[in-house]
Amino acid sequence: MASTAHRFLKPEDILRLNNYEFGAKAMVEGYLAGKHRSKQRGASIEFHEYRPYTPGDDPALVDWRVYARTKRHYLRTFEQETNLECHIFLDSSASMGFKGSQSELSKLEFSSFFAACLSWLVIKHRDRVSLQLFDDKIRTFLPPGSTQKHLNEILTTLEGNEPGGETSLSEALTRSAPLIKRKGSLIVISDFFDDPTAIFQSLSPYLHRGFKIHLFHILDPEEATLPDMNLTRFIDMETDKRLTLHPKHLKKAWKEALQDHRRNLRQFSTRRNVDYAPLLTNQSYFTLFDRLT
Amino acid sequence: MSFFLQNTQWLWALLIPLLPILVHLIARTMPPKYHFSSLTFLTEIIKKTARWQRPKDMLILLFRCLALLALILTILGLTLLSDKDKKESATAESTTILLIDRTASMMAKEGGTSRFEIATQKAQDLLLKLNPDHANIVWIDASPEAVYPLPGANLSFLTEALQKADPYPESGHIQAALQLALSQLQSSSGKKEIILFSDFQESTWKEIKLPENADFTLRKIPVSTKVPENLALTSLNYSPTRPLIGQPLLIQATIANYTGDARSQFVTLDLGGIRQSHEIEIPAWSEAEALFSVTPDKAGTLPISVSLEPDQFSGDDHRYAVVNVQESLTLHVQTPSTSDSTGHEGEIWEALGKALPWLEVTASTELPANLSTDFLYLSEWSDAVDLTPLEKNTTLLLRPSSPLSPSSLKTFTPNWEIPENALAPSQDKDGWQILLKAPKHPSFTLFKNGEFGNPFAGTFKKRLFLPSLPEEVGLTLASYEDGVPALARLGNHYLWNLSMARAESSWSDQSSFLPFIGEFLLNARRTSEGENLSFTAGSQISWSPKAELPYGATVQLIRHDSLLLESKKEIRPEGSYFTSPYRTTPGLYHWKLSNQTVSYTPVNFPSAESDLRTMDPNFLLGETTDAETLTRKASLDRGVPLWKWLLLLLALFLLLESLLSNLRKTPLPAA
Repeated sequence: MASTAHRFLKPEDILRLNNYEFGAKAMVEGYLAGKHRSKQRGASIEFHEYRPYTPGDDPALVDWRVYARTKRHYLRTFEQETNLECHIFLDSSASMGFKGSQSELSKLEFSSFFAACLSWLVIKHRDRVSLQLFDDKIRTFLPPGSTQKHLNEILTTLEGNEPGGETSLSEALTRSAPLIKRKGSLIVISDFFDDPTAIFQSLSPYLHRGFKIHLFHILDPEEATLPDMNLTRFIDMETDKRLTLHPKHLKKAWKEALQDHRRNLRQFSTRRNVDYAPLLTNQSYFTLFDRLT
Repeated sequence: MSFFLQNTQWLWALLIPLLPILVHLIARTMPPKYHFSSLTFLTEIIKKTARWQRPKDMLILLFRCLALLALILTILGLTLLSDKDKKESATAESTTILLIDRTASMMAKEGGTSRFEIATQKAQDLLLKLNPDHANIVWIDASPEAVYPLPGANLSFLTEALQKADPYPESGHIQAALQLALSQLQSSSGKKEIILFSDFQESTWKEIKLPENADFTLRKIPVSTKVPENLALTSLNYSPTRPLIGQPLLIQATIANYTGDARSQFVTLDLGGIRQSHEIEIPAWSEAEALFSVTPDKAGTLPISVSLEPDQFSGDDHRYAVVNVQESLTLHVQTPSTSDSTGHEGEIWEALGKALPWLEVTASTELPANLSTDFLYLSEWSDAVDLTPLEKNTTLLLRPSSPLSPSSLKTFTPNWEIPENALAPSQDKDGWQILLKAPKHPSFTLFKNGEFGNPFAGTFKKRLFLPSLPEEVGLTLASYEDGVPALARLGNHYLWNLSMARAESSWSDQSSFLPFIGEFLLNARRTSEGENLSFTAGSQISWSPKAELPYGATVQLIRHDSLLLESKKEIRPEGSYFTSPYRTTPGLYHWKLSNQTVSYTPVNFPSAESDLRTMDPNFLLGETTDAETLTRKASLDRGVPLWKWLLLLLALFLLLESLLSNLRKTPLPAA
């Protein structure tokens, strides 16, 4: 695939992504899907490509007209049968716009880089990827696609994405459920400043449908430790509430509270067989790809 | 106590400690804004920590303000003063007079160190620590003196003077020393102070009144902590004061026991080579007398020395006296030129002179010009007799005779009011008897048991009628039956209203007449001025030769330790005197004329100094204190800079602020 000039897709990232095989697993899924004929008849199925017959393939899938012409056995593959769907939920609430004094990227930008790379990886392996941008509602929904054009659309959408209002992940997940028809991987990228119980309640339908869910908890380093400041007026980026406090004096308590929150998320995730990974924006997002491959 | 600031030009800096409060207030109203992703957790945390966080923040603020305040006060030079009125004294000149007792009692040792050494050591320490601008030392002794004429700034010389000084075995003229110290301060300005170092011996200080003056401060530093035990010879007397050769001399030495236990002491007498020793018991805190009876066998001036066994305070273990032993008494009889029965008096006296080997009698009809006999008998004492040229040391035996007016008697008895015409001659052909009126008089001791009869046996037919002598005027030794005084002492002389002539009385024929006259003459003579004189240590001694010195004769004064002293000759109206050059110490001083001892001068330890008990100096005016308190007070008077304490407080507040800030903070876990 050719490199792009999009902001969130860097050539060095593309080079690095070549080492990842998100698509291989997806191909197994596709075979299985193909193998176990989809019950979704009547749905829009797009011809994908011809590929040579290999022993073990279902003879019913052999295109005999091609055989007649070429005397070679080829299978006709379709999208439904061959690709995994990757659904990216990108939190675009106001809190994701936070960028610490020592950080180069805001959480949204960091997450956008990751989402862009993931999209590229999925599409490279001919899988489908969808993108949902949400805050307290779904702001943008790009249905699954696997073409270059779709990738460009995703990248463009990401570039034009700005932090929005308050966070409500549970609301977004609930509203998105009808939009996502096929199971696949559900990648939620957020700062998860929300109630874990509500989050996992909204994830239940997805889990029930067999989605593989990955929760990537993105935080800025300053969010993890609170800044070294004296008396400061904190302003909530989502609610505009104000609170005057001494961050220095509350560091420990803040850390403890954050650790408790993470622990809760991790416990919920473990119980529900959900993958949970915290990450700071000063770390490499490629560590997340290790969890996906 | 009060405080004052030395660097008031930085006073505005006192506002600086308000800065943290202002910053806090301003910060609270206009803190920097920080957009944060979510305040949900922070709100919960604030709720949980508000209970202790706010007081902690307040305390931190307080410590910061206090730390700043401590720093500012250090810069301002905060000084602690003892009295707000003494603010000026912190910079004013100071003059200190050290008034130091160096009398004999200060030689007493307490724990191996004498009181004087303790006093001088404390004085040196104080001089060093107080560091006055001007100072002087005034010594309390018999002749108070100061080291400098006026207070000076050279303290090191005063310190040297303290190191070299010694106490003297003499009493102190305390009031004179105080006056001298006060006079030293008159020319001074600024802060004036007298610091008195003494043992405050009760026997010498109890009557002292310290001066009260608002112009200076008087402080007392007692240097005695305990009373050493002491036995002392406090007096030495002998009788008769001018014995004759062969006449028993009774020497009485008084020993005082200044201890809480009865003591037994050997008392040793040395009289011109004659030695005796007695052991006596002295009750606790009491006195006892040792009596010695010695019969001198040669005439002349004999030194008497009495000693105790030496103790820790040995200056008062010796006492000295000098006794003049005479070969004989001299009596001059002045008889009238008329040859009547009274002329027999002269004969009777001459007969007495022959009968008494120790009596030399001379007679004349006129009064001799420069009479120097022991006695002068005036057989007719009337208004016509001029007694003025008579030598003072002569005892007059005055037989009153008409005409004698009360005014003549008043010469000897000014207080005796005698009416005019009360004095008149009287006679009785049968004669009068004379009765003893003062049987305890020493003259009558021999007659006490009646062995020698009545000293006034016989009858007396002629007398001068006199009114009775009041007790306050004189002592009537004997009187006629009707109360007319027969023999009376008028001061140092005697009224001899007794007729001795055979025609006028039968007294001289009585067997008791001779012994009485002998006893009377032995007891009636008086000591001359200067005779038996004892000096107290500290005073200058002097000697006056009785006669003109031969040409080329030299007078030498030898101290008791055989040291030759230089004596000074003085011409006084009463004659020439030789005086010692400086203060004397206890002992016997010899006056030598051309290498021959002609006189002794005993110098004795001042007995008032022997009782080493001290009194509570609080009874005296002025503040009683000790050297350490005075140093501290002086520092406070000068002002104690508090910068060290303030810096310590600053460090403490900063430490507390830091500890409180870090309270409940744990290290961050590794990322």
